[in-house]
Amino acid sequence: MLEKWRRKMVRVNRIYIIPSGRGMLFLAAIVVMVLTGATYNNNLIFLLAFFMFSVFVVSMLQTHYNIKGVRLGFGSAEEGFEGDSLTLHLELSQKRARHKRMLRVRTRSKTFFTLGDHLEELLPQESAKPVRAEVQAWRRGVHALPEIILETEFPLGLFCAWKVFRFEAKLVVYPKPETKQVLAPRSFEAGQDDLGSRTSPEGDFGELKNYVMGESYHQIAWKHYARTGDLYSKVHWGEEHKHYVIPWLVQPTDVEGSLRTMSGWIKNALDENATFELESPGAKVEPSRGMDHARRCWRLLAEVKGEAA
Amino acid sequence: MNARLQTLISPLCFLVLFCVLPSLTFRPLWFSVLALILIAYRIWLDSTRRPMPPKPIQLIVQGAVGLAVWQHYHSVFGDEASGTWLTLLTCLKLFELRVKRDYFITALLCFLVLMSVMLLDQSLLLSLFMLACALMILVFLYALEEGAWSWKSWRRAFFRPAGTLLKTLPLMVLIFLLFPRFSTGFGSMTKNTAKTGMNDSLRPGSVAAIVPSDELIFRATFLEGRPLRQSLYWRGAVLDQVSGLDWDRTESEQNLRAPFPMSGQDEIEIYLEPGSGRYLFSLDNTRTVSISNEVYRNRIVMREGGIFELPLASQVRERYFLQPSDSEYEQTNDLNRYLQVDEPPSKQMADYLAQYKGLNNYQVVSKLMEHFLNGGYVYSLQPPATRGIDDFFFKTREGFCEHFAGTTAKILRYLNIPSRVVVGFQGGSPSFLENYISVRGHDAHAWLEYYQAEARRWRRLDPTMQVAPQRLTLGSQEFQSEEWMPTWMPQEWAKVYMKARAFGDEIEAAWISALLRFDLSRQRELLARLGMEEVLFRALPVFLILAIILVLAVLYFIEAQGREPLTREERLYRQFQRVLKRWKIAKNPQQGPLTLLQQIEKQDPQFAEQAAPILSALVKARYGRESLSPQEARQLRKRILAL
Repeated sequence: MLEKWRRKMVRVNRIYIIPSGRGMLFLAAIVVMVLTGATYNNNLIFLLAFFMFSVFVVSMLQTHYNIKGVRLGFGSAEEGFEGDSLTLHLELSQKRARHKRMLRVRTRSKTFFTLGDHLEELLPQESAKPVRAEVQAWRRGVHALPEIILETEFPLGLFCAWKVFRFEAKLVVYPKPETKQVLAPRSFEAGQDDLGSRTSPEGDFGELKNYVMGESYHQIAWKHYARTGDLYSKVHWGEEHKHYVIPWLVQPTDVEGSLRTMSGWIKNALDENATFELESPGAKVEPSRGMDHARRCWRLLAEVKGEAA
Repeated sequence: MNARLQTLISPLCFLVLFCVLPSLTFRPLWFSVLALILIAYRIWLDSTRRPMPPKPIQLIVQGAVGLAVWQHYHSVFGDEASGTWLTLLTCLKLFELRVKRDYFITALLCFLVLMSVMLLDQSLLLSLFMLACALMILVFLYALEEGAWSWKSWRRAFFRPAGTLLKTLPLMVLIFLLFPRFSTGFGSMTKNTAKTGMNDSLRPGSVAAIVPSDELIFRATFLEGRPLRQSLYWRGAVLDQVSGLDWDRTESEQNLRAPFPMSGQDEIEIYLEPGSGRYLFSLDNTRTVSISNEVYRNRIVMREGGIFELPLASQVRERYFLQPSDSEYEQTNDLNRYLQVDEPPSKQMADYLAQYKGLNNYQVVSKLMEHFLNGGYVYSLQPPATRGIDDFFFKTREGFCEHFAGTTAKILRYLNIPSRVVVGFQGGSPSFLENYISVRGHDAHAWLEYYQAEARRWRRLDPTMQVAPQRLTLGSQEFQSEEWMPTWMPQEWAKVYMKARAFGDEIEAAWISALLRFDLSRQRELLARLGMEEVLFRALPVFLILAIILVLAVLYFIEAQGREPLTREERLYRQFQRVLKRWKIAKNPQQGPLTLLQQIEKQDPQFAEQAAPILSALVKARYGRESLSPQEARQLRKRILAL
């Protein structure tokens, strides 16, 4: 309820400004001075207090002006595992040529925790500048991108001015890979007529055989073709090739635990450069290998609705 | 700890040192030594990259400092004790610099340290020094936010804070003028540390002890013409009880009353320096006084004898007004008090007094003064010790004003004439521009008053006038200048020194009156002059807020208009364009420097010949690897202007 109300009230790209903790201390010192000045009827103390107060309000203007006209654009967001840091690629931009100093980009979210404390600067000659924000993901799932906050305390740290940006994007957090249980691979010997048996770029090069139409281009011995003009395909042998069929083992009692185990199996298969496949109740990922393939599988795991998602 | 933040330690130490410096003159010696040792030790630790002392030791030192303050002042509250404590804690805070917040708090404490000094002194020189300190704190706060400090580019670090300072000044003045003055009702409750040494008693030598002091007691401005120096008798205490040569004041609560209400115009404005005791010095004909400090406004006491007092000695500079009157206002009910003597006259005295029998008051006084004039009496700051009135009057015949006044008053009482002794100041030296007089310690004086029954009023009588008339006509300054001149200074320099001092004092007084003048009543006067009605005066906070918003809007507009500083090359290029304008060569806004050169070649080949090397130098500096050095820029500028 409160959050809904807040999202309604807090508008995108508007400047909000309040005294920071240090600003409050500064204000308290001013109050002490005014009271002392009044008690001792001391105009010099009044002058000092009013000087400090003027610095306070002028710094408010400067802080406000430092963030005025600066916009934040969204580029892309990296995906990653629970507990890992994910990088958000953003862009700072401004229309007028101004020097904006000490800008900080962070997220406002319970799920994501902004890492690092980088201060960005926009020079007058820069109309746009790529910036990054590192966030730590605590929970698995496909999350809406949290609110990104652009803030500054320049020049004196007495005020904090910020702008809120909301982007329509998803942040995918995979389950953390756990390898408590070991999954046995289905093995194939080289030459056996099955998926990927001869496609391994690894393993020892065995022999050349005549190219048959329909075989993968990757297997063609191009160097040989360049020398002779004849098409041959390479056969590797000696390497035992592995293939994993990752079972869908999501147990209602321990959704997260089982997802982590499955995530671990995918990671194992990826590390071993094995081929693997995964079938969820709603979708099937065809057998393949490589990072992109693993990501597809992990995303499937991230999308599972469970206690955390 | 953050290595970048560590570069801020030594500037912070110097900042604290600067803020502590003025207080070294006011605080006890042990404080000064301790504060300097602490700061020096911290700078040494930082320069040798040694670790800070462990926490338990820090705690012990903090406790010890608190105890030392307690031991010295018997309190940690009150302006002096708390100021001392606060300053030492600020020095100790230098040993607790861990995160950014610690640095910030230390800088904030520096502001409070400045405040504690302002409680003790508000002179112009000190105020200027404080302004410099405030600017330095601002510079530090900027550097803190940047996160690092570099001694190499310290000058550049001043630019931005100085700009902020300029922006704050109009706002500061505005708030100062419009901020509603109020009183917290506490006032200053510290013990009397009167520097005048003047109190409710007079002993032989007590005024002579004050006279060597050159300390300023008060400044008086006559709003309507200045009377002669000889007639300025600033009355402090009236003493009515005699014992030997000692005079005291009867503490009678019945003698107290509130001063008469003010009516008509104030005529004399007085700035009383802090530590001058409870007395509000006034002249013989003063009808009533009024004070501008709200705390004391309704607490001034008028004693019998027509003198005015504060309930307690003020520790701050007070401003009050005297309202004189031509007629005598004092009504004395009980004249007997002024006739009592502690001992009957001795045989010798009684024989002497016999010659006064049958004379009226006027004749008695004349004859007595004649005796002082011709009796071989000497005015001296170091009179020989005297035992009783006879010893002085008949034997030693050498004394200071209190001897003459005390003796004369007692003799008058023997002759059944009511009399009393008055202690205060006489005269005062005019300022450089002669628009006020300043009364200093060496103007201290004692005289007497006797009651003239025929006229039913008190008359002033100053026997010192007979003995040393120059003392009154020249003023104590000239009369005994060797007493207060710095010992190392040759006597011939006295005149120059006095003029120089008067000039300094004039500036100081202008500052004090400008600064101190501005109290609630002045605020009212000023705003009334600006057309603000009394009703509106109550809504002052609203006006203040509106005015602040207005100033902020203007400042924000200036901020938004402000251009980013140009580089040297850009500045020179602009200058070049201005020269072009003079040569009537129009430039297209989109044109770059090289196409511009082509255009110049077309329009004016001769001019292009001169301009080409300049433009190529500018292009090289702007787009090349190395930008222009200040010297190169200066040379290029000369060449551009020579076109």
